[in-house]
Amino acid sequence: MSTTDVKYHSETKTLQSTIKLFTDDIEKVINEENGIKIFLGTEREVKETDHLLEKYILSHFELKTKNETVKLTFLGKEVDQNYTWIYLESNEISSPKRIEIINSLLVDYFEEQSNRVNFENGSIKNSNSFHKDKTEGFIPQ
Amino acid sequence: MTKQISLLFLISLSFSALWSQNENLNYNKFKQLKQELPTPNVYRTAAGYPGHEYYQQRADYEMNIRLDDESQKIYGEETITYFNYSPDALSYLWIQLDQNMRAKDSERNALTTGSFGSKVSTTSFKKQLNEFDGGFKLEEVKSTDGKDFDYYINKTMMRINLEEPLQANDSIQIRIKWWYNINNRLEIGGRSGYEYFEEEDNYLYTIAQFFPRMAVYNDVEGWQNKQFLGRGEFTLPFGNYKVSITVPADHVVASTGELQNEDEILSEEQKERLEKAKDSDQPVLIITQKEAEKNEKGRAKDEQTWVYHAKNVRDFGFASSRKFMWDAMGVKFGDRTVMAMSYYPKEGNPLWEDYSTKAVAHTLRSYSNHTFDYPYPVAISVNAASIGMEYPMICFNYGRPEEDGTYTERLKYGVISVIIHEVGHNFFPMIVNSDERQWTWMDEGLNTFLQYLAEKEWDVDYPSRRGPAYKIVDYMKGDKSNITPIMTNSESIFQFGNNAYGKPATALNILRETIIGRENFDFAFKQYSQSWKFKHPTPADFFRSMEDASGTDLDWFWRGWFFSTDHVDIAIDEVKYLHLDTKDPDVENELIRKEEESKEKFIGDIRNETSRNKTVVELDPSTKDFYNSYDPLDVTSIDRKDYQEYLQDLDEEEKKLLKNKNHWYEVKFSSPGGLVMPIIVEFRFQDGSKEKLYIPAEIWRFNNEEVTKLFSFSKEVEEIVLDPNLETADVDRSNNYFPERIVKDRFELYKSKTKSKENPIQRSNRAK
Ligand SMILES: [Zn+2]
Repeated sequence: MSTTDVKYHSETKTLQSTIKLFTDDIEKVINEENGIKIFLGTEREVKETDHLLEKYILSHFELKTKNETVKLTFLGKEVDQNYTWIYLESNEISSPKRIEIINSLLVDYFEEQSNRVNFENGSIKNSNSFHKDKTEGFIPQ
Repeated sequence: MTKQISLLFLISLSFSALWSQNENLNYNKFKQLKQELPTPNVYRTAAGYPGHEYYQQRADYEMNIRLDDESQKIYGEETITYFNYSPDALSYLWIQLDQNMRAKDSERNALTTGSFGSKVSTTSFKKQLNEFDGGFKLEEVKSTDGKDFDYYINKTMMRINLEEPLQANDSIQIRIKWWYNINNRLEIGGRSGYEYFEEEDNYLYTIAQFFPRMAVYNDVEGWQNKQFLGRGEFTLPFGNYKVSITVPADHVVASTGELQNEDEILSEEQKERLEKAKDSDQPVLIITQKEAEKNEKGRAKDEQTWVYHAKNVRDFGFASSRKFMWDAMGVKFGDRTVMAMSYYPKEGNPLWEDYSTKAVAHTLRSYSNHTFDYPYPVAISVNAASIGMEYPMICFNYGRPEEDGTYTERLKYGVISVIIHEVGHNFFPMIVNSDERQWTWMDEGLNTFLQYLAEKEWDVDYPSRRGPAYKIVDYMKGDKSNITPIMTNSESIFQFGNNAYGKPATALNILRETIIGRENFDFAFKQYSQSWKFKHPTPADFFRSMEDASGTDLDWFWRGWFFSTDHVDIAIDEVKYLHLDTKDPDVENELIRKEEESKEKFIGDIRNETSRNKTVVELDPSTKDFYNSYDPLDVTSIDRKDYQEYLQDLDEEEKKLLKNKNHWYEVKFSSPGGLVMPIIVEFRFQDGSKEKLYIPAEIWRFNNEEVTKLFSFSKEVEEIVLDPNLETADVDRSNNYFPERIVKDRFELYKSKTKSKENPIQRSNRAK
């Protein structure tokens, strides 16, 4: 299971996304996709970890407003015993009332994977969930 | 039972139209569970315990097993003695053939819904293709006098059609001869199978669900002959086992039960080490790494037979390999010594020799404290790549360090956790024998709950993955079309881990910490465990006994947490402040003065205070009279006298109230999440002190959506906080504060933190 909070920040005019994943899960997928062990969040973490995470996340998580793909920048990650948080920020965009999400995080590896996305922009607060048979959708739906 | 559940499922999932059409029915969340739970009877009492005519069947097994390491096949000849202790005559018997799940034509393969995502890993591809020739090859199904039984195979279930019904209190013997191809666990999956070590051409077998096993017949399900689809595990009758396992002579066998032919199998030195282990407080190696590494190079052509006996178990499993190291340590229960033991290849070290057996011993002690003394003579943890799976007295657990001997902290805790969990399964469901095929949560949920307690007893800072209320929040607030109630059959659950492990474990933790309290909960939980030890409980038995023993009506709790997908979200909607007039002029007038001083001031008045010409009254004092110096808030002796007279007319109670509780707050709470819970509210005062109040869930009994309550204090409240200690799994904390608190989100915190761009490890390295 993963949870993503997408929030429009009116001061920066950006969409800020925080993706929370199980550390074991994302590590396993990055390892398998690249055929190396990254030792996520440990003293032995390999140098290219952030780059590999960025590559994987940005190819499985996409935001669109008004049919246009929003450019996302990978800011970084935080890791603890159980969870990994990924931080993404968009470039400046006008305040969206509705966003479209493409989210196929981990679904190729875990049958049961469920990815929830919460969207917040001022008074708009809504969410949608994605899984292997549903990787695209809108919020509000 | 199943029908009632599906109805409830419909209601809770959607169709608000249903609600409005049936609004004259009782949908109160405090409605008793009489319609959801079966009627108590002579087999199961209303108190939730075995009734005076409770019965259960028994199945004893004598088996000769041969493991063929050359071709990875296993052969068996078994004699089942089945005792019918039910009051019913049985005209057929059902036997489980779980291995048939791996048969090419299995229902599981047909029922797997598959779609190709952008990428399919090779493992899942192999799983979908399934070229493996698995499943039981039955050679004989005979009576002991050599006559063939008439039988019918329905995929993973076999029905033996009896010529004469098996009468109550009678028994029957069935001889079955079988073999099957053992699956490569890492290629096509499975709880049991083999792992192949290519470099040295060696196998490590973890063998379970490997023989035709009697299904359970009872008062609840009749025959539990629901197909094995791979997820709903097992329930089996208890019985005694005598098993001979023939393996290559250089293999080491770890098994359910006690080794009967030690003298033939073990060397004098190994027997001495084992003896020493009994009284040791540290694991003692019976087979050292050096010995195991030497052993794994051999290829014995001859065979050896290990004989194991096990009493009162519901299943039997074993592991075999020439790669095993073996260590052991005694755990004392009174004058009884239970052997905690581990078997692992060198690939499990250094982690395994340091932690496995200690984790086994800790689990036995911790779980016994919360339930009953571990009754079996041994408890074994076997190292097997990438799984965690439990059988009586033995379990198979993952955990392999890196080739250079290092391992991550996550792996270390992962290993300790999986061992606690799988050894813990001895209690639920191996001994408290619930029906996993029907209800996964009854063993996984209860076990995950006790696992959490055991983890915290291992280390207070243990990074537990499941247990605390706040950890279930992400799941609970999720999309309801992807969530099922806990009371859902094992094979139809969405989000298996959260549903059957995480949520019930959390619910029990909440019951223990918040609803019933630790002492009362522990008493009730022990009553349930001890009463159903070596028996077959159902969900209703659990719900009822927890209520009956704790003396708490928990129907609302079971309804909300187990029968619905509601989540907890309690909000502070509105706060009104009421000041009680004490009539004491010294107090009241001061308050009025303060209030006036704090009122907004007109801009002209503010400016006039500093920059203006002298006024007439200032310039000409003769314009002043009484009213220029009169302050209506000044307290006079007459005011005080009036107050004393007023006090004399009050009784003591009223006087106390006036003196101590003159700040009143009317707080309106709502429950937008739908799952009713106690209201835990903390009032924080201006002087820094706080008061936490606990209002039982029953406050919602007349109105499940909204309640208003008065609170009074001697001091003024600065802030009101709902659920300050994160005990209710409230999914939205933004409505938990008055005045509203802007909760900084993680993103902002991260952004402000990363201005320094340094992680904790880098920081500590820099400090070196
Ligand atoms: Zn389990």
